[in-house]
Amino acid sequence: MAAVFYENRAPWLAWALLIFHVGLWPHLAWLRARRSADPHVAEPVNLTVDSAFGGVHIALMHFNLLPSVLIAAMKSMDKIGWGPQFLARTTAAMAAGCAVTMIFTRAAFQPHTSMSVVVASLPLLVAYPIAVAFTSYRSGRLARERNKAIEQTTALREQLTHIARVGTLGEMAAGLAHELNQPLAAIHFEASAALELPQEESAEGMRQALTAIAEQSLRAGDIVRRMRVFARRGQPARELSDVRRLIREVLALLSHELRMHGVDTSETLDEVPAVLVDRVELQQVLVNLIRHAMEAMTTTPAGERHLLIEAHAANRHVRVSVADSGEGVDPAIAATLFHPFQSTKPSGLGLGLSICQSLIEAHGGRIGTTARAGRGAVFYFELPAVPGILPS
Amino acid sequence: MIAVPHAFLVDDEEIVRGSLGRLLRAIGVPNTGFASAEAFLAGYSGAPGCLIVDIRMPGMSGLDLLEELQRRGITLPAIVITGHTDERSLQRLSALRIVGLLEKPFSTAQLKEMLARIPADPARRGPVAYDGWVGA
Repeated sequence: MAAVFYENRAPWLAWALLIFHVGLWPHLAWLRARRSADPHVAEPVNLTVDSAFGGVHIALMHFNLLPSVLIAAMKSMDKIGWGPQFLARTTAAMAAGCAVTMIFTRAAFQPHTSMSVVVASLPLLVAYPIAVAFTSYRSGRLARERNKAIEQTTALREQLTHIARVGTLGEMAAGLAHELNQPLAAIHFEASAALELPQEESAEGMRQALTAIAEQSLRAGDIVRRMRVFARRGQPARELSDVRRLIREVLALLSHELRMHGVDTSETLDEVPAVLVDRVELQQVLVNLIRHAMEAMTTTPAGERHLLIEAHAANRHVRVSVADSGEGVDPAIAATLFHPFQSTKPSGLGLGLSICQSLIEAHGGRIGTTARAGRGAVFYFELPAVPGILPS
Repeated sequence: MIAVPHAFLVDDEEIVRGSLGRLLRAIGVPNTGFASAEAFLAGYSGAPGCLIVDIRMPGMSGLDLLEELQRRGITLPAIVITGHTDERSLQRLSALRIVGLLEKPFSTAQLKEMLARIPADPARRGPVAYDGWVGA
């Protein structure tokens, strides 16, 4: 019984019924003993006690039924749907409740009382399954509809996140293409140089060129791998991750853009506990925040564009902050900053920060912004740390 | 025949600077690398030779450098290399006197051909007439 209750997370009402039920038996036995032990008790009083017993009896039957009904209803909410199996279970639970009541009460009272009570309870016995069936059908349908709506919302959100990510990747494409061109050009020049070498130098020169070519093709492969990971489409999957590694991957992905914007990047990454995140989604948050910081600094004089990325453990959370040295956040729009379609840029949908917020909140974290001491803004997010686990 | 005494290679990408430098050396052109336009302006002594510059660089771009050289009256033959040229850059380029434009990746033959356009005679080292893009 306890297991069933625990499984169903029975509310306090079901527990109260059970305790009340258990306490009732000694009380009834005591009343019965008093009635038979005292020959001077007047007959009308005995009759009253008898009819009171009858009432208690009916009530008992219901108390036996009620927990079963509650369990059945809760089960149907959880499992959704009511098939023959569910009806059979409910009926069996109620029949068992009735049987228990009858066995105990027949031992305590006269047989005729028990029989009349059973007959009197028949309409209720019929009414119960109908009520249960109706309630569970309704709640099952509501739950089904609710679950369907949740599924649809989740799917839509995933699609939107993916579309936004591909959009960001599109904006990054020129930079990434240029980035990819560097190792390709280097490979080409190394090979050309090796071919031009005079005979006497060719052996050593060839070896050097091939070493450089091997290195550069790995570098090109890395760039392609990062892009492919970022464009991934599929079910989000959460893994124990090291935010520092994700930050470094994202900085590599954005290195060219950052350099072209004349942004001087520094990192202070403490040893932090692991977090349970979808790595691509977290990278998306980081890319959005870093690009946002980069864009905030376009009007900052060259040489004063400083980006600082920090990661540290804070109160069972891992806190990551991205600080820029731009204009700072206009207080007038600070309140709606994370709302969708709030863009101050001529290009862009204004979805970046709102997607960051929904992704961080989906991970049980929070996101916010503060002013940076001196100049600029800090965007930070906190994710629950997985206690005791340092990322490998 | 290539008569360029020295090449000044300005590219922010270290690996490109290094590998292109080795290619130039292999075809017999000694060269010096500079990591940025600013570094070149600070380090250039006025020696004869040819400038090989990338357009896209953080800070001062290749175009900024050429315009600055023109402003200062330094007439160093220049070959512009680029990964991708947009219309605005082309417009700015057409106002400059350069030896030519090489789009990456370019072949050794194209590079040699471009270098061969630069006359050997230091007296004739002045502005070299623009005569069309190579590799575009």
